[in-house]
Amino acid sequence: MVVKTERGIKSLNTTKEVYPTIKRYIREARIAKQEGTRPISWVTASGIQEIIWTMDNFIALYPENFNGQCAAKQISLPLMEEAERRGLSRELCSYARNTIGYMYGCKDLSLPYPGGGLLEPDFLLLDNGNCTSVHNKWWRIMENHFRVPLFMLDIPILTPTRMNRDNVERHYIDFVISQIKACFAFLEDQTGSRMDMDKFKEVVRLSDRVGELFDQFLELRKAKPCPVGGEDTVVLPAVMVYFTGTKTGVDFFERLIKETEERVKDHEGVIKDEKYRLLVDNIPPFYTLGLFNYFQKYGGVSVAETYILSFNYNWRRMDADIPFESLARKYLAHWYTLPLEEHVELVCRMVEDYEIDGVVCLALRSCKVYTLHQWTLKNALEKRYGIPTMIIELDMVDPRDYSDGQVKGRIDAFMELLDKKKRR
Amino acid sequence: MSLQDRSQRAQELRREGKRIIGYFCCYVPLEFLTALDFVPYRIWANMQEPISEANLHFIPTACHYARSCFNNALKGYYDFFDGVVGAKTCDTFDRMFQVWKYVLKPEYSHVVHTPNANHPSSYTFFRSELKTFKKSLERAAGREISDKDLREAIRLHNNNRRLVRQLYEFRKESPPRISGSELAHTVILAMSLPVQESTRMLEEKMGELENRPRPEPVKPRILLWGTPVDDISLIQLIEECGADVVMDDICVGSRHYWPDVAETDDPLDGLVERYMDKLVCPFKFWDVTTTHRQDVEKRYSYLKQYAKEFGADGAIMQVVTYCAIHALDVPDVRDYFHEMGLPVLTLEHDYNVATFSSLRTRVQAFIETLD
Repeated sequence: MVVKTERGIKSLNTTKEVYPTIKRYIREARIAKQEGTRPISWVTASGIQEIIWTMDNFIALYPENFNGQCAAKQISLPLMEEAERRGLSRELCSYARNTIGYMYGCKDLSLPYPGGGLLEPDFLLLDNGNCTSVHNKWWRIMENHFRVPLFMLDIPILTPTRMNRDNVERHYIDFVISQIKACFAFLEDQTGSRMDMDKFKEVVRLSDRVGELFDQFLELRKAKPCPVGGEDTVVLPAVMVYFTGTKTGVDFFERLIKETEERVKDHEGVIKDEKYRLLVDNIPPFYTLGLFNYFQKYGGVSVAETYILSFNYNWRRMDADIPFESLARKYLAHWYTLPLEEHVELVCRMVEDYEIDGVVCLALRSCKVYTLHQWTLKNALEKRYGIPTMIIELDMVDPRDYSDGQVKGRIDAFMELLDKKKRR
Repeated sequence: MSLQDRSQRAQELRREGKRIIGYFCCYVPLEFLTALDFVPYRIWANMQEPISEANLHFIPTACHYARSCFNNALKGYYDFFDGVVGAKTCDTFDRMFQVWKYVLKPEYSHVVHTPNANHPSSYTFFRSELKTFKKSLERAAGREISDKDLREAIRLHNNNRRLVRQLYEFRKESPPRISGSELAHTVILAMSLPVQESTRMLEEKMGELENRPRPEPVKPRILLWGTPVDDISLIQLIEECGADVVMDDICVGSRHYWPDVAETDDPLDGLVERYMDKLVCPFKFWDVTTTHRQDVEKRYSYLKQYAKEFGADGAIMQVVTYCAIHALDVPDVRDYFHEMGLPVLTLEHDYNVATFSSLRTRVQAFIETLD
């Protein structure tokens, strides 16, 4: 099955560096594996980079990132079908199906895998801060297949009746701290070297710096015209996932800000005539990122995306001198663990801050955790601001749930609606 | 009483001044509610009515069971609640609870977070969660729970669970004196009553069954696995195809009633143990064991015991569409049943009787192979 897709066309040079940087990282991983110098771990992408970079004596690979790349390379379908042949329902998370299909059938299918394929893991790390139901099972299935040790960092959600990010009950923080410590103990066991407290503090400091820079970058995007669109920013989570807590990450975001600042100074927008400022909710369809550019035909620019926020800690700055406490608070303040009320308020603030004209909700067929409450969010935005919103039904990785003609037809109608509203 | 009228008694009690608390999922520790004289009422979905109002708030590609529960609430079927309590187990129920709270703004609500893993710190955390839940309920009730009250509530619930297990004993007979649908009917009603009344109803049922003659003829015996089923239609469908449903592994059934709370000096010890270690649900991520074999054995060996004790000839694995935690367990559990030598039929369904005709043919064909 061939799906009509388009690649995203970027405005910045810095964002074009992302994939080559990741390719280099994977190449180094391949050498380390061959030479047996550092073990490989498959890690959830939700954000325990500080733990990883503190140890720094193993290589973390991210199946979720791999899945996005497979989708971009248009090779997800046979992998997902392989997982379905093994008895997994087609309605399950397409990320999980893609990785599990790869795990079972990569050699037989022999496709042009990104980075030459995911190197087999020596152990697995799982944190469920941005998805519980699927992540737990998915990592367990991989553990069963590879027969390697696994550590799970269990992140509770901030239960909606009584907490928000400023008011977290003590036992939640203690619970996460004790697991971060247990995770270090597991890694010491796996890698044979000790965790260094000074290094830990330095990594937390660098991680916080990445968060701070990311916030500055978001501020710059509020400019009119918007200097950077969603087609560029969708690659930023990959940088956050691979390099939060490192100098590489800090350097990247400093360059990104510099380039963006220049564009703001020169009033250089994503397109010449920016008419509509759009907010895009949810994970993008990696097999057709050109969808972001499609809005530009009508003068629409994606100036804010919720997806990229789910990898950034933008609440209070972290105190590197109390790294355990700081990290526990960060892990508990994930985009997913937030209570719905707070989530809605955050998106409302984005609508105001970025002066949004229309909201595009990507309703992902197979990602339940990020999509379940989306209609409640949409209703709240419409009610509060009378803002036009559209829902596009598709999937982040599974191209079978995407119909190019239909989606574009709906976008055409939506943009006409925005136009009418603006003329009124 | 028909299942359509299952809330009648709770509504009556509310008119008499009792306070009714709706709860999702068998991970809500009901003992605390009972100790404060709240009436716990399990929140049901609706197999008989299609989802309508909930579609305005919830994406259609979400678990039909969770959406249907919320749909009932939006239709006003739960207007007699004084509050709702959830347990954070699977992501869908968590989101649904949040949307419920956001849209319907219940007077009282609380979520008990159940850790996924059983690390040593998970137990400390869960104990604090129970204490927080207790305090929250005490505030709502305007009085405190003494250890004596809590112990008494534990005894009441243990006794109630023991009676349901005794009722299940009748299904070990061949052919069983109580059909799968009749038992499910009884259990669903039992979950809709205050525990004392539920126990009285079960005792009456037991008395009646003891004097009931054995039915004829012997039919293939089915073990039913999977997502919650709080209606008898699906079980009836299997029975109409010529089989007896003799045992279940679902949360409106054995999962809810099998484990008791140990009567410990500090009642919290027994409660932590039951809700952390003894209850079974695929959301739970047990400690990592060394091999796949050990892991599978640890998680599913009770199914072997059920199959043996209840003499199952085959297993039907039913999963409501979009339930990730069950669907991801299907390959492992299916293989486990096969290893036991049990034929398996896997069904994915929309939790709506209107869509069941396609299931019937498959169930019929499966049961014919068991004859």
